[in-house]
Amino acid sequence: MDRIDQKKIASIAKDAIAHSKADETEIVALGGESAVTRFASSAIHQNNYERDLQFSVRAAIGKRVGNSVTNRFDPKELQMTVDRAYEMAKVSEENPDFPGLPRPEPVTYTPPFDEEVMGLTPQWRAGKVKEIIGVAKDGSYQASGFISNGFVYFYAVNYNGLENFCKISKVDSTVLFTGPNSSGYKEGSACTKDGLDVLSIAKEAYDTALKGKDPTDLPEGKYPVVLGYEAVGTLLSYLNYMGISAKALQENESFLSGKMGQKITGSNITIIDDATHPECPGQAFDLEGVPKKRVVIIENGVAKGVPYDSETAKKDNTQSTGHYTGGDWGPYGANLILEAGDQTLDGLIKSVDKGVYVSRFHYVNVVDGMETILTGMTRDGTFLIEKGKITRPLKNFRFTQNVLTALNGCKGITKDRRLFGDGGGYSMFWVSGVLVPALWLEEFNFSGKTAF
Amino acid sequence: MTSITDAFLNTASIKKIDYSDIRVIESDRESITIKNGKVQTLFRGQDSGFGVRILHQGSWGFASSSQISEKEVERITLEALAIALAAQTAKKENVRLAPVEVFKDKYKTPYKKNPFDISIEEKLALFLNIDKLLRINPKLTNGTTSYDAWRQFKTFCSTEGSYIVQELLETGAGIEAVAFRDGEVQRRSFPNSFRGHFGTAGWEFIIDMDLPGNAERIGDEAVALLDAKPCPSEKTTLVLDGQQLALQIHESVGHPTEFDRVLGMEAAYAGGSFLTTKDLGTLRYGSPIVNIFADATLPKGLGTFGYDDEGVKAQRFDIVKEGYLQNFQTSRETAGLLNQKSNGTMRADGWNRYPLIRMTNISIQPGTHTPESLIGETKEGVYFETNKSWSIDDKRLNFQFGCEIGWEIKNGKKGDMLKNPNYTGITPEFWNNCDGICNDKYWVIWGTPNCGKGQPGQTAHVAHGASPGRFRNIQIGIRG
Repeated sequence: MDRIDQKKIASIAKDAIAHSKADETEIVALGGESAVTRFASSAIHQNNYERDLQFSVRAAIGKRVGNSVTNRFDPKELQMTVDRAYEMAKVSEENPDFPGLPRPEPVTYTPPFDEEVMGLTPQWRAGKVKEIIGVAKDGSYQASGFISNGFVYFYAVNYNGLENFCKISKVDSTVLFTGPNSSGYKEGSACTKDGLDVLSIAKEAYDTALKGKDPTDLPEGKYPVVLGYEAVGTLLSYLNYMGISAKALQENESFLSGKMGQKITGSNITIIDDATHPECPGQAFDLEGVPKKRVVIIENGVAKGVPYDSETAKKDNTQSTGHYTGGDWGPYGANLILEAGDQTLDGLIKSVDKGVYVSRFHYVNVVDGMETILTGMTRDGTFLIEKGKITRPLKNFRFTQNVLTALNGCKGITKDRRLFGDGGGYSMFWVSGVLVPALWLEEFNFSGKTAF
Repeated sequence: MTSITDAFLNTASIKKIDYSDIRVIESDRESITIKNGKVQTLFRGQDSGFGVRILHQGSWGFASSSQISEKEVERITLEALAIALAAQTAKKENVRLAPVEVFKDKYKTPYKKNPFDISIEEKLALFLNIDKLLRINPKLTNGTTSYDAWRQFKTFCSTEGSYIVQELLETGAGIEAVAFRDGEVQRRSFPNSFRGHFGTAGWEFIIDMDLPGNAERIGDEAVALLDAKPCPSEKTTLVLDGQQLALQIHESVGHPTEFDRVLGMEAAYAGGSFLTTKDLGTLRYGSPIVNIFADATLPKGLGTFGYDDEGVKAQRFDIVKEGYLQNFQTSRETAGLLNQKSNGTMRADGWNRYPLIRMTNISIQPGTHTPESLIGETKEGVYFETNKSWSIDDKRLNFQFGCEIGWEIKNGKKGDMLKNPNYTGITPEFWNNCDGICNDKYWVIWGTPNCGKGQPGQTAHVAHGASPGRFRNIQIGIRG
């Protein structure tokens, strides 16, 4: 099998659609390869290479819909999968909101694809790990993390003549340096082999770990904070999870419910979802083949819009924005961007009289999704800021904070931003990321603390 | 299948690989979701592939593919070998495996009715009826009924001679009611949150849940929560139902006792542990009534199997005994460091992942109370039920949990309903404040199908047996 056999995939998919007894049939193929080299205590300890190709089938008889999946790359198996989806549709109940499968639309965006990424080897990854480990001159600091490379391709075809193909390459890395009582962490994502400066990430993580040595106590409470890029990335990801979706909005389970058109956070906060943005690229179309479109979610603090798929779009008499995910969640953004400001990170820190610098959050979860209240821990580099300077490292805090309220007190945003991908996450098929600046927030609630 | 495992063994032999194993997995999955009377998902699918794990010259390699053929097995075995050899570049010490008994065996999940044999029509009829009952209350906003089933045919073959075939079946279902008013959402779930309750069992597991018998009550409770009192912020006596205690065990006992975490192998992602090997036998983890064990043989436990993904037989061992830490969960690689054999906790979530130490069924021994005596002895306190959110620090010390519903306890009786209940604590302090656990009549083994770990990420199906328990002097009511 070729590594990306677009011709054969298209051929068996179209044959399977022709074979289908359903009124409408859609086949979406997601395939790719992903290789991860993982290290801990400054040695490679785990590896994972996978190659997969899944065919998802949606069959509709009128408004009755059935779904099936196979990863057997075989014409007969795919036809059996189509039959299975048809049988599901036959016995299902009508979904009154099913709008029919999408019609063809031009796809004008081509995601970045670096052929060199396809050729990266275990030896290349191992060499990078050795470079990362070598950053630590102090032997009491150990390196952990991973480096991964891979590519994903998507092919969508349906009964209405829609047919789209795209591919995207990815390189991701996270580095954690851990010392006797401190740690530092950085991560990065890119679509090209040379787009990710792994050594630079490692040096930043090591520098943070060194600066965090012998952390001290600070009472819990409310403080001004400067949130580093990773910390902001986490908050944005969780804001997304709390209901940036047409389905959640329509079902009154979104923090945006009843608030569209209202000012919900700071005037300097603008959040969009845009898979075609050169700094936060994603796939060209969604999992029903509709081209990805830019969605303005919050503009200058005002709730403006949400991602749609074709079913939710029909309910609201609008157009799909290309965010169908294929699951119960409904449409969700996968390429979230917080618009930049005009400051530097040093400039933000200099502006704070007394506050806390947070590198990163850990194990964040939702306390109240409608109020956008999250809880979680700080981790891997938390520092006290006094009179515009980082003066001492701190032990970690638990925070419990309303995110929109915190962003309403945003007093500074950096010009530069960082991209964080899915980080070798749960599936190699997720091509998602957040592009975020660092932020200075007037107040953040540290509701507890831990011993380290 | 033997042609595939023969191709693997042949390649491993030609290349004189020190140790290698292959898992070939074919699985079926079925899922139904009904929301507000609409069939949102009606799905049945298939997934198959194989993964080869190699330990050569002291380094690991792993590679996998969905294309099951002899030619691809040879290619993938050589890919895994190349990865293991490349790993020599950044190696400190050779990995050594604790010995394991060789098994040629079969295992099959016991069940009465195969859910895949129940017609879709029968399933839809049941779930659509449950959906109607769930949404009787006109003030309810959304009602969701869900069902999932997995069936896995797994063949494990190692160069040491083991050949194990397992057929694993998992089934689960649940209901969720959501009430929305004036920007506030409250939810209630049954039998458990996040798609319900799961076990290694058949269709009978879902019938025994009695979803129809509980649906209307759950809908009413979601609506009632909108008018409930907010959870107060204070230190008090906390009684937890078994579902929430199960997740407490998961986060604050299960994860910190995974030995790979203790050794720093998960530092970059999920974190480490506050425990060290010196704590074995000496650390007072909880009060004397706290006895926690791992048992991969428990009937219907979602963490139950015949053999783990290293071919180690499913077994039971103590983790905490009479309050003292006894054992970590280990693998062949890590057990040797304790001069022990693996206690059989290595599992991967599919053919395309290398196995990691994962919880099996980590459970607390039942005690002697009834819910009536547990609450009856409590002068002032609160009772919380069903998890809504969870968070813990990267050494597993500071935690915060939110539940769906609570009640005041005053003078030994359940009083007013509370909304948005949550609590926080530090792991060993919390467990040392445990002074009452209900007896085995109230003990349920709760399935947790969404435990995340590893890079690339994996989702493990695990379980925790628990009865309701009582904890003194706990901080509740944390708001932003």
